[in-house]
Amino acid sequence: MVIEFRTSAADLHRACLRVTQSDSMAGDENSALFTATSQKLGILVKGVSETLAAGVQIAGTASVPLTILAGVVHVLPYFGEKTVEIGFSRGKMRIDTTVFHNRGILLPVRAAVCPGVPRSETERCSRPDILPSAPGQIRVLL
Amino acid sequence: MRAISLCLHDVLDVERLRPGDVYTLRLRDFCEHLSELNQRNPAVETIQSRREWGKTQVPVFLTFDDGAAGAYTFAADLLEKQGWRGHFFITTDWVGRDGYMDRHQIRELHSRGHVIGSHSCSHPERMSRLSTQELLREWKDSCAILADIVGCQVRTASVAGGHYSPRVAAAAAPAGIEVLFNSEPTSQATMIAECLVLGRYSIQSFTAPSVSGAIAAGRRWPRWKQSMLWDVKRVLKTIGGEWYVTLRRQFLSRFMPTQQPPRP
Repeated sequence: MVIEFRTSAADLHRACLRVTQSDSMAGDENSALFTATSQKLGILVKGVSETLAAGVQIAGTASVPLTILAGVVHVLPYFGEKTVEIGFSRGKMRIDTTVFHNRGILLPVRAAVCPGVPRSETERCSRPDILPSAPGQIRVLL
Repeated sequence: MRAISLCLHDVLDVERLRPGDVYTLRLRDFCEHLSELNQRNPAVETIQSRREWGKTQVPVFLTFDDGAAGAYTFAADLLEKQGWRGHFFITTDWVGRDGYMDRHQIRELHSRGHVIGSHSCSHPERMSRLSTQELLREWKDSCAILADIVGCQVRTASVAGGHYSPRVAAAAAPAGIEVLFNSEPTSQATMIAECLVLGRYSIQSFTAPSVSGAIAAGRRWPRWKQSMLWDVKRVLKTIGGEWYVTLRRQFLSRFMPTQQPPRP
């Protein structure tokens, strides 16, 4: 996995629910941005963002289609776990051992490794508006 | 997510089953299976009761396909005696027919805390070969009928005939199905569209109670054996195609009359 973090399942579910049920969801964009930095996870959908605490092992940003996010909202409660480990790689989102396959899952920035954690494989930048930067930092050009 | 799901069909209070009737359990054997499960102390629960944060044990789900009357008459009572609840997947075209549950019985099971789910409308022999439109109809119509019976949305289903493909799951999501059980012997969940797909281990008339207990307890060897056999069957299905279905149908009609679709 290129991005990896651990977070509370209930908090993640609440955050996903909030961003998917927001009034501003009527926009054109069809993807959500998951940004894992040092100890935080940010979820951004059409200008609506949610931040929650996360134990980040490998930091970075992943773009996930809203259909996948809707799927996460539907199925996460069935996991029943207190905390879940989330991982992203190109075309895949993993919650614990369950993998969501979707070509729309992109890793637009180079994965940045948290201090003390060995770097795993890296991804090439596939979006010109989001550039790779120093480890631990993500620079988005708007 | 990991879950161990057991797939059963009918339970009959008879001394001898008809030759080849592998999907029906004798009542006595079913009791032994439950006793064995109880001794292993697994976390038998339902997918709906799973919707609570903080569960740690791998859950064991007991599922009953087709909506057979024996599942209502014997299985549900015996599960409740253990404090357990099951999943009953109903083939809606067969509701009320001889040997199958009627609407009142389905509603009663739901009110007793069991999970009612769809098992398609017509129980197609090869669900994976249906067109997308046909799949949508099978899921949507059966869910609508069951929602009308139980008075709330139906969110679970199981694949009829064991012929599964990702298209089958993708068509289930628009019908509001959130959890789909197939017949692939695995404890690993996958995600297709907005649908969580769970595999199941089959408990048949020749399955020893100790085996079902070992599977529920998470032992690897009996689960691996089922998985290997399933892979062999999958190859035969792929190579055999329609021939496999024809041969299976001939076998069933000769030896397993109770497994044939009921007459209207």
